[in-house]
Amino acid sequence: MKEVRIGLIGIPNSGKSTIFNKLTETYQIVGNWPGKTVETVERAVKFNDKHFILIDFPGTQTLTPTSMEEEIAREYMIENKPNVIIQVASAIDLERSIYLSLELMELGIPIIIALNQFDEAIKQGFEINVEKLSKVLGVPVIPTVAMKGEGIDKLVEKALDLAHSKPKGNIITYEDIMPQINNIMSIIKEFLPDRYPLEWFALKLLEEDPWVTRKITELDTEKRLGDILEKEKDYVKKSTNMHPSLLLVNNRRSVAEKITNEVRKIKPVSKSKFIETLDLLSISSFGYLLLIVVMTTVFVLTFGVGLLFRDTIQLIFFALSSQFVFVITDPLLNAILSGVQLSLLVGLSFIIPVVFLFHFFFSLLDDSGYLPRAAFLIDKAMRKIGLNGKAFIPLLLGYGCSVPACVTCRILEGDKPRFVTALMITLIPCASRMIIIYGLIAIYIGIITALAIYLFNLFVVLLIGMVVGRSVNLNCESTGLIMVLPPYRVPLIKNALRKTWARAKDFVYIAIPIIIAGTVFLKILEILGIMEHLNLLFDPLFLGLFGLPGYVLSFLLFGAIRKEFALVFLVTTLNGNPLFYLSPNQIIIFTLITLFYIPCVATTVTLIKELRLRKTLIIIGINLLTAIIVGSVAHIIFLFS
Amino acid sequence: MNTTLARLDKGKTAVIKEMNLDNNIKRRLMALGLLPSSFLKVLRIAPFKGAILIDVGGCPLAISHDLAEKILVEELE
Repeated sequence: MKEVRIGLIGIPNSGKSTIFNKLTETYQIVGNWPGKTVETVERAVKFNDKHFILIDFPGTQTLTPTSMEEEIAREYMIENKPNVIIQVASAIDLERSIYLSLELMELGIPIIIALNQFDEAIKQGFEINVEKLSKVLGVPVIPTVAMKGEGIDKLVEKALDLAHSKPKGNIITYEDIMPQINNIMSIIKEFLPDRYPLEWFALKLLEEDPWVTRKITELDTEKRLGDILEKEKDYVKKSTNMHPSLLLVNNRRSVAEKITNEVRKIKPVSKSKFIETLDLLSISSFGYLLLIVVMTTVFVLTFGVGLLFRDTIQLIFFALSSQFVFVITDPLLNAILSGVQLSLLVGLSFIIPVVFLFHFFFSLLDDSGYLPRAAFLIDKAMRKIGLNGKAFIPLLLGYGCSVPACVTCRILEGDKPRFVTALMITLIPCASRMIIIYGLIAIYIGIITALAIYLFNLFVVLLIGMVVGRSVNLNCESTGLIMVLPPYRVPLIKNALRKTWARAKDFVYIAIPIIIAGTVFLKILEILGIMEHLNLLFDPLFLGLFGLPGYVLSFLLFGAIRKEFALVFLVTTLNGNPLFYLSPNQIIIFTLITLFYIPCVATTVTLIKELRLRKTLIIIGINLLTAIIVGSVAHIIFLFS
Repeated sequence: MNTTLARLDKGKTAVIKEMNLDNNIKRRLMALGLLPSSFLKVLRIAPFKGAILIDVGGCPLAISHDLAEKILVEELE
């Protein structure tokens, strides 16, 4: 027998990712902001000795997609129909959850509802009659508290039972326009394959859904539909005085509202004074100060604690390595050994502490629910660029890693905002570039200069965002902010640690081995005298433009693979202390160039996937140009100061 | 009194009259519970005439100021 395929879907912030994590061994990033699951994931799962396939869909408010992530999710659901859908509904956001239930039932797939965040709803004074909800909707409803794992066993059991049954559910009848729907159904029935839900296609045609319209045009080879669709739409418009799409939404919405009022009672509760004050402060004018304090704290803690770790780790490392003193005369072997030693030292003392600390602090922030509040606050400023506050979330993620940040751009509506945000992300110093700022500036020049570099970077990012935003004519109402604000939650250390590991493990598994190999490779090049040739070749260009020796080009090339390599190979090649070879000004110029010059390989691949080649090339071009301008201007300023 | 969502003060309640926005945005707002005849309460307004946080259907929703300008409401006493 084929394994049952269970689709997991829900509105953003319903705790869907938490349920997903409970059901799977693997860890997917859970956070407290709308739109985390940005890629559809299909996974074989063993849970309580039951085997099934779990398909994780990104959070979506409706089955009428408005952002790219929603569109991808829906197309996948229609084309790769699951046997049963678990809809994770939010007990604290009941009406919107019911709206989605109503839409899902139209797909003709059996559905079961996990009424999640049930405990939180009780805390907020929502009393929900689960039995009644189940009866009104005509589908099973199981109350769950995903964070604690409550109700999950029962949910899975029920879902597997349902998988081979006929879909049930009290589907809305759109009485006003039933003849029109029936007419369209009778026509498309002749060419629409059985696997597609017939009525749903008819409804979506009336709603002018782009994907469904395209699909039908493809399938309708004999043009049977002809102008009937237009006629029916016109008829609806005239008779109801409303565009069909708005009419349908309106219908579903009022049903959702009615059901919500039927099954939910609201009791007044006294909210936590602390949370309420925090909420009040974080989105008042004081919030800007708070935002600066919060972000500065994250960086200062990361750098400060990172420095402590570095000293300790170095002490231990030297104590250990002094135990093994070899006398090696062979220059090649010597180069290899010292390369391994140096790169291990750099890897352990520079990279690991900073990356882990940053992701840990950022995860705490992420889980707390603070980020959407910052997005709310920053909306006005982002509108000046032509983006909206929501773009702030991928931008902030960009300080961690550009790759997930670029993927997260899918939560934005429209191609242009996605392009501009992705461009800005590539210019924002990710954790890898943070290692460069830390390893060159914070260590050899000072923490204040390191923070100044961040501020300067932010200025450049905003400036470029504004210029490019203007030139692609971003500013229009379609980019305005519409975002549901999740409640504040106390972040769990355990959760943050898991997330830190999920986000930072690449540095251990992928970066460090490459660093060791690369360092040895560069050491060998040095012994063979190839470095000198390179220097001679590029010295004139780099000295003239940036006042930097030509050999930095090799570091920049490695930096294109992973940004932190630029620092690592600089330090290992210059035998530990760059200050013996470069002046502080040169170090600053080099750092500035590495911030902007090119998206790393992983980011480039992601960009091509998300934005296509053309836009990726434009982004790379802007990156290079920015680096050249910033680097040479800094050089000129230092020359004359 | 008829006005726009953007002009409501903090703490005011209102009922939506009309939304002069393009269909895509309108659909999105409606799916979130914001449609003619629904009630809302202004919870917070971000500084410098920034985004507006409203309560609609018991859940907080943030909307850009420029969108709120195009949502006509009737203020309730």
